[in-house]
Parts: sequence; structure tokens; C-alpha cells
Amino acid sequence: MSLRNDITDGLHAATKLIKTQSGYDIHFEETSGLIVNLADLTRHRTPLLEIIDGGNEEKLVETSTGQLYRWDLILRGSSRVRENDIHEELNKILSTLKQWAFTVTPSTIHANVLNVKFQNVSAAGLVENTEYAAMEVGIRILYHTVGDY
Amino acid sequence: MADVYGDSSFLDDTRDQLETDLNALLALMATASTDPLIAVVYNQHNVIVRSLNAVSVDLESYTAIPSGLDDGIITRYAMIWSIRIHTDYQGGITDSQKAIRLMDSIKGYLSTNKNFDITKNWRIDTINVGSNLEQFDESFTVGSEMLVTITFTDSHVQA
Repeated sequence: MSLRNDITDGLHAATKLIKTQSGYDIHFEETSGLIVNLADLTRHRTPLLEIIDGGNEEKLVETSTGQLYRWDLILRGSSRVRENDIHEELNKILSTLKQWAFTVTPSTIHANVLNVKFQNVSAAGLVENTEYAAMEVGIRILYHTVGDY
Repeated sequence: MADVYGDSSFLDDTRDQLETDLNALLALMATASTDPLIAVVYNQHNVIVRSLNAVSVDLESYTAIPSGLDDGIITRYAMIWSIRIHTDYQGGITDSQKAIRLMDSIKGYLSTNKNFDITKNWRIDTINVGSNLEQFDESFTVGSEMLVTITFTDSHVQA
């Protein structure tokens, strides 16, 4: 098991604890690409949270005992809009994910994770030809390899 | 104290002493529950900062002062040591007030504990107070840096 896999597992566990404003759990799903699979979206109840590997990892610090890495990820929240206001729905997703990124304790994700930062909103809007609003939030994780890895 | 000329172990000794002093300050601050606190002290700048707020010590430069070379046995060294305060990782919040408070604590502690065993004379020379927004690429952190000049007089023997 690689360190990145372990961190991803930790991220799964941590994001599953996110509660929406209305109090019900976010359903968790992991995707490997940036393409929204409409079939995946419609077969799940919402709100739906997906973790997407941004594919951007960089070694920042190299020491004699380990390395420090930066890893960019995207959290995509989707929610069924129906008669609701799409802006209200998008704002709920944004505020929920943003608050999580600002308040999560990095070590609860994994002992080697040092920092989690909200980066930006990378996409927001109504998923075409559906009744789903989707919001993509970029986060940046700093993790190190000192230790057992 | 007589060292073989060319022996630079005094650099390691000075770094160790600075690290010891800063760890003593860390313990004092923890006991007094000051805010902010120092979590960890590192003895080099190229380090993975695993806890914040961190302090790191590293040698900036040193030079032999030739005034003591007349009789060939006395050399004075001027060492410039860099002490960095790491308050966050790059991209995070740069808290100037936190950095200044920590800087003041370190300056105050070092100023009142000047009696290094291994040095004959030392003093704080410069403090980079205008650089609370510094980014340290060796550790991917932000914070402040102060420079401490330490002079050391050594008598040499032939190898």
C-alpha cells in the first residue's frame, strides 16, 4: 500500500463525516478522472461528493530524511436542484466544502498529512441536461514521507 | 582552549548551543503557556517542518578575522547564524503579529543568556524585522528570520 493510497483512504473517511446544512450525510464517491459520468450521477442519491485526483503532485522539499510533497485534489459536490434555486444549492455545497477544508485537522486524514488548504472554485453550474448542480472545489494537501514510508 | 588550525568543530558546537538555548526557551514558554508557542526546534533550515510554530537554526556565513594572526596562534571568527520562525506553510496565512511575538521572545531570551561556554564573546547584531512576509523555499514555509552574529576567539596549535 502506497502512502498516497493511504492518504486517499484517510480522505475518504474524513469527508464521509461532512454533514450538509440540512443535516443528512453526503454520499461519497471517488472518481479517477475529470469527466462527470451522468450515469453515476443519476444512480446516486444526493448530495454526492466525489474526490478527484487533480494529477498535480510536486516534490517541494528534499532532505536527508524525507520529502515534502504538494498534492492538488478536487472535491466535487453535486446536488439535485429540482424546484430549488440553483444558486442557493451551489452556495450550500461551496460553504460546506470550504468550511470542511478550513477546519479539518490534517492528522485525522493521515499522520503524514501536514496541511490542507482550500485553493479555489474550479467549476460551478448546472450539469448539462440534468437537474443537478455541481460545484468543484480545489484543495491542496501537503504531506511528507518521513516515517515508515 | 587550543584547536588544530582548520578545525571547524566550533561551528557545530555553536549550532548545538543555540539549539540547546532555543529548546530551553521552548520549555519555558510551554510552562508559562505563552501565546504563541514554539512547538519544535530544528538544527537546519532544509527540513520538513512537521509542527508549527517551528524554529530552525543554520549557519549563514563565517569569516576569520585577521587581527589575531600577528603571532599566528589567535584567530577570531565572526559567525552569522540565521534563526527562522516558521508560522505556516507557503500559501497559508502569514501572521505577522505571531512572527513578531516569537521573534521578540527569542531575541529577549538570547540577549539575557549570552554566556555560551564555547564562545568568548557574542552579540545580537541584526534582526530582520522588516521581513515578516518571508518565504523559505528550503522548507516551503513562511515566517520571519533574524541574524545573530557570534564572535569566537580560538588559539591554535600546529597539527
